Parts: sequence; C-alpha cells; structure tokens
Amino acid sequence: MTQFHWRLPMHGDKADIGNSAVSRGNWSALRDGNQTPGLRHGRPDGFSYHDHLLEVAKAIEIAGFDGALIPSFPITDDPWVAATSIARQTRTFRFMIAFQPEWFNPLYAAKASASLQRLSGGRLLFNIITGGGGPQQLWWGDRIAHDDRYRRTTEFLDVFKGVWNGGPFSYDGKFYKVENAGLPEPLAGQKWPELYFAGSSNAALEAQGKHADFNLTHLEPIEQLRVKFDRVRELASKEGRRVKPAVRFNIFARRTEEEAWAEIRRAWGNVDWARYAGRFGQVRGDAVGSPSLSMHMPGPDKRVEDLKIGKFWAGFLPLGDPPALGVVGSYEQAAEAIDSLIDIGVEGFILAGTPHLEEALRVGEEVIPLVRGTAGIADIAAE
Amino acid sequence: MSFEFLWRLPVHGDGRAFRKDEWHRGDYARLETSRRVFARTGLGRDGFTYYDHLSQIARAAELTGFDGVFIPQSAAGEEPLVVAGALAREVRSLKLVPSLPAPFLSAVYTAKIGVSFQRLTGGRLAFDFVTEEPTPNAWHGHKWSVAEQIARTDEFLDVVKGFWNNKAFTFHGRYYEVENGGFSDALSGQTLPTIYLSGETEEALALSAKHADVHFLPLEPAAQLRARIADLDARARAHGRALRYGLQADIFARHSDGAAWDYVRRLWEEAAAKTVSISGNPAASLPLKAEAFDALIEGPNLWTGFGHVRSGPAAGLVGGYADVAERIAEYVEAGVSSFAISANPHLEEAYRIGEQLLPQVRARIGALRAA
Repeated sequence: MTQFHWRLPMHGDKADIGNSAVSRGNWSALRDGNQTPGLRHGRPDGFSYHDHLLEVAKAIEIAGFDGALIPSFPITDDPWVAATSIARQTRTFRFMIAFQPEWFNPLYAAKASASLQRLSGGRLLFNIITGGGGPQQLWWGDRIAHDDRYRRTTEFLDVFKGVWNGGPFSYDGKFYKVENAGLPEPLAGQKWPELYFAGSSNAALEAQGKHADFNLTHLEPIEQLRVKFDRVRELASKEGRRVKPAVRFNIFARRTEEEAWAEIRRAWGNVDWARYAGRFGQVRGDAVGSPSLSMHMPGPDKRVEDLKIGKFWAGFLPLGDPPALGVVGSYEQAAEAIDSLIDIGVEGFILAGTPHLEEALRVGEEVIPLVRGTAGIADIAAE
Repeated sequence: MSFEFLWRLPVHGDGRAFRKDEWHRGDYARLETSRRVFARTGLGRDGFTYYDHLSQIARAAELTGFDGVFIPQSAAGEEPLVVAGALAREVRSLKLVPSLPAPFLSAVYTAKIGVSFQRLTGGRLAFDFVTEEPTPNAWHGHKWSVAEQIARTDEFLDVVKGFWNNKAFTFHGRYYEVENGGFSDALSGQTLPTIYLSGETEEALALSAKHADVHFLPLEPAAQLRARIADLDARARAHGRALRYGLQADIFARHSDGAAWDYVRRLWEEAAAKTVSISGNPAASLPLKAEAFDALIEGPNLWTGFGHVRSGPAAGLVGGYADVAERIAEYVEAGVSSFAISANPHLEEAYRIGEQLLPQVRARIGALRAA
C-alpha cells in the first residue's frame, strides 16, 4: 500500500511562506508574534521548539498521514529526541528518523531501535543517509572517503539486520567486527523498521539493492525519475529483492490554480536573494545526486513562470523550502501530479509544505482524497 | 553542600520478588510461576506497554520529592536514551540521567542529542557514561577491554565538551576527529549536561578526575569512602577541578530495623529455595544458600547480597527508616551528595522512600548543617 508521509520541520518553521524570517523556533531573532519560544513582556515564554514539533506531529496524525520524515542537519534538533518524546503523545504517527551510520555503532542502533519499537508499538522507520562528504561530514566528526561511505553503510546494515532477531551473529568487515552478537530477549524480533534510503550514485544504488525497502529521491522531471527507478529495480533484482521507489517534494496547493500562483508570486517578490545565495549558493560536498536543473536555476532575474518543468515547479529553494522541485497548483492538479508519480511506480511519498501544521491538514484533507486509486489515506490507515 | 536523590528506574522488569523470573511487570523474563498474570504492563494487551509502568514510576518519584531519575544501562532492558525521551514530557521537573556506553556512540552526535534534550526539557538532562568488563557472551559481540573503553570515553568527552563550548571546534585524536565543529546560534547556549562517571581502576579514577562532575563510589562503610574521596579529591585538584560524589544502592527500609531485615531475609530465602542462580555472572555468584545471608552483612545496615540476585550494584542498605537515614547522613558528612537508589517493586517503594525515608534524611542533613 502506498505510504504517505509528511515532514517535521526540524529546521524551524514560519507562519508565512512569503516571509523569509523563521517565526516558529529560534532560528531567527525572536520578535513579537514568534512562537515556541514566544515573547511575553519581551522575554521568552518558556515554551521550546519541541512544543511546536508535537503540535505538527499531532496535525499530521489527524490529517491521516502515515507519519513524517524527521530530518537531521547540523542546525536542527535531533530526530531521536523528537521521536522518543513524540511517541507517547501520538497513537499512529510513524517517525522516519534520518540517520547516518556513523552516529551510532550498529549494535547500539539496533538496541535503541528495538527499544523505540517497544515504546511506540512498532512505529519506527529510517531514512538512511550516507552523508554528502566534504566539510559537512567533518563537522559531524567523520572523515571517510567517498567510495568507502557506501561500503560502511552496507556493513552497518549487514550488522544491524544480522542482530535484529537475536544471535549469534558474527561479522568480520572493514568497519565493523563482532563475534556472537545478537539482541537479547525481549528486545529481539521487534517489528522491522523499514529503511528509506537516499543516494543516487552507483555505489548508493548497489547498497540499496542489498538493504533498502524504499529508494528515496528528491522530485525530478518524470523521465529522469523513470530512468532512475529502472536502475533501482535492476540492481535490487540482482540481489533477489524489490526496492520501492519513493519521492519527496513540497506541495503548494490552493482551491484554484490562480490562487496558488498568486500566493507563490507574492512570496517570490519577498525573496531575500542574498540570504538565498548564502544558504544554497555554497560549495556542496561530493554528493552526485542533486538533480541537474541548470536551465531552471532560480535567481532574481527569473520569473515564477520560467521555473515550470512539466507539472512541477523548480522555485522552492528561494522560498527556503528544499528540495528545489515541487508542485504548485489547485488541489486537483496536485493530486494529478501524485497520480503521475504513482503511474511510474512510486510507492512512498514524503510531502511537505510551509507552514507545516496548516499545510499538513490542507494536503491531508483536500489533496490526498483526490488521488486516483486511493480512497484517501484515512481509510487506508483504518484497514 | 547540596545533595540529590535519584530514583533508579527498572528498565528490565519489575516485581516484588528478588528473582527476575518471578517478576510480573514487563516481559523481560520467562515467568516460572504458573499463576495467572495480572499486571498489564509489557504484555501487549489493551495497548499498554512497559513504558506505561516506567512513566508511572517516574511520576511517583516526582510527586514524592525525588530530584531525578537514573536510567541504568542493561543488556536486555530498554535503552536509556529512548526511556529518557519517552519520559521527558511526562515529568515536569525531574532530572533525567540516562546511562550510555560512550564507545558505541559518535561524540558529536551525542553532543547534538544532548543539546536537543536540553531544548526539549529546559535543561534537565545529565549523562552517565559506563564501561563494562568484556565477557565472552556479551550481546553486542565486542571485546573492548575496560582500559580501551575508558581511553575512548576520555577522547569522547574531550569532543563533547569542546564541541559544546566552542564555535569553531577542531580535534584530531586517536579515536575521534572533528573539523570546524560547534553549534550554530539556535542550538548554542544550552547548559552542558552534568557528567556522571564511575569505576575503581586506575584508568577510571584518572578519567573521573579529568572529566566527571559526579563520581559514583562503591557502597562501603563511610570511613572507607572517606579514603577514596580524599584520593579522588587530590587527583581532581591536579586538573584544577573539584568532584562531587555519588552512591548507587538498593534501599530496603521499613518502620523498624527488624522488619526490614526480616523482609529481605524472606526474599533471599524464597530465591534460595530455587535451584538456579539468576545472577548475570554465574561464575561470580554464590550458591543462594539461606545460611549465606548473614555472611553478606558487611556493616551496620549494609548488605551485599543484591549482586547475587540481580544485575546492578551489589550492596544496599537495609534497616529501619531512622537507621537508614542515619547511614545516609553519615555518607553526606563524608562528602557524598548524589544518591541513585532503588527498591523492588519500584512504584510502591518510590512512595515509601519518598514519603517515609527522605524526610528523615533531610531533617538529619539540616541538623548537620546547623551544627
């Protein structure tokens, strides 16, 4: 069954996509109208950003989504902290923890994951990230060569899986060596946390063939995605496995197409291009997965219309809302865009929109029920 | 001197008996009794899980005046990091002290988790870092010696602290390497969690002198602890630091000395009646013989039998409320200020100790101060 997830805004959130300052959380200077923390008589009111994350998680749950991706970057709060504290305050919400294998030893990761499954009734999944390399990887305290990174990820998952249902499991890898390991009872044999897995290089796709449940990619033009998914299927079938395609993107949908674009134009007029250059113009790591959208690079010289690519729109980065490519339009058009992705085999969606609480409810109520072939995710969840 | 009482959470099951296989709370042992199971926790019935029990215990500790919960690391129990997150919003003011195995964690990532926890809880997180003797059958399949674990933990703490306190932090060590680290504005400015460490080896003492805020000592008569404290004080002074000291112990307290000893002796005899030793380390355990009980009394109110019937600290205090309060006051006088304590069953005993014992302890410490 197709999975529909939303995204927890771990990087801060804002009331208006047309205003570049973050007003939920403390990622911009606090001002009147800010919340979590808010200002009472000029002082922070004691609420923390986690209070907002919990509100968003509950909205995602009520809106009928399966759960949400919980991204993890140097500037964000931590997904394990968010997931464990949200677990007891939600019922069906599934937390997709963004995770780099270097962060925990695989044995510890397995134990903490099993414990989280017991806490939540099996609501954990992962977005396994191998990391972009370069300076950002050294911020995390991780120096590793690009080509070795996927080998480490593969070894990590070999061990994580190997001990999940108990032992004895022994392994003699380049990065991990264990002897007669295995999760003890009653931690062993919990529900398997499905693995979404990001990365597009050959090394990444080979690693996915062995271990991923879903291949997660940013939205790209349909033909590019079709080619990529064929490759994912091919490499997975070599391992005798099936890896399901999954896509993440923003949806900006309104009652009518005109209303949606009018809002986008207003936001575009307020883009702080210097801030955009500072945040997205910098040299990236050595990741090869970023889509080639050079014809449609946003800039102050571009009009909103210049960034349309088929059913998609390439202007989300200047609005402070990665990934670059997403969907703008009426509720019907947004549903059609999702249908076109289901038609090329997509089985997992990670959607997002700013502000995250309000847009989760909007997309859950207005868009998903129009997606062909689904009776609405609320009904699916009830099955 | 300020002092704190932490309630140790039973992350691997709970019940009245000494023996784990008679615990009805949680699913951590195959029950050996044929009795119909009454308690709902951890059975997957009605949507309840063992975390509902842990949450109730933590709230009981908060209501009865404890300062925090200590969440021990155990082989087959719930992971303390996950427990701390689950409880973070269910108690308002309790300090959360999860016990973590540093060599299994990235130092930077642990600092990140720490920052996020402080933001979640308003600064209520503390870290306890543990090392364990490698055993052939360790579930994690690693055979790191304690010395190596400590060497890693040393660098790990260099990185956690350096990353936490510096804007552009760079570190090149034997185990860890960071370039241009440090937290951005939104995440910086949080209070570094208090660091709890323990261990009696030369390496462990050196690590504590350099990095610990609180060092857990083995539970011994107060006179012996004074010598250990004097030694550690001197080691810490060499680093220009001062340590605080802690004890971890089971406390079985009743209205009278006799009632407490009778109760513990009965639990021991019930456990001894079974043939199988359930200590985590059979080689080190005595056969559970009824007559061995008295040999395990090592001082006034000090009994060292706990280690033979379950994992965790070997020694504990047994006695009337007044006597146990007197022992604790002696420890405070000797320089101990953190007490991580527990007793089975943990919910009921949190109430008992919080209501009946801690007021007497506070009164005695108040009197000490006045004197």
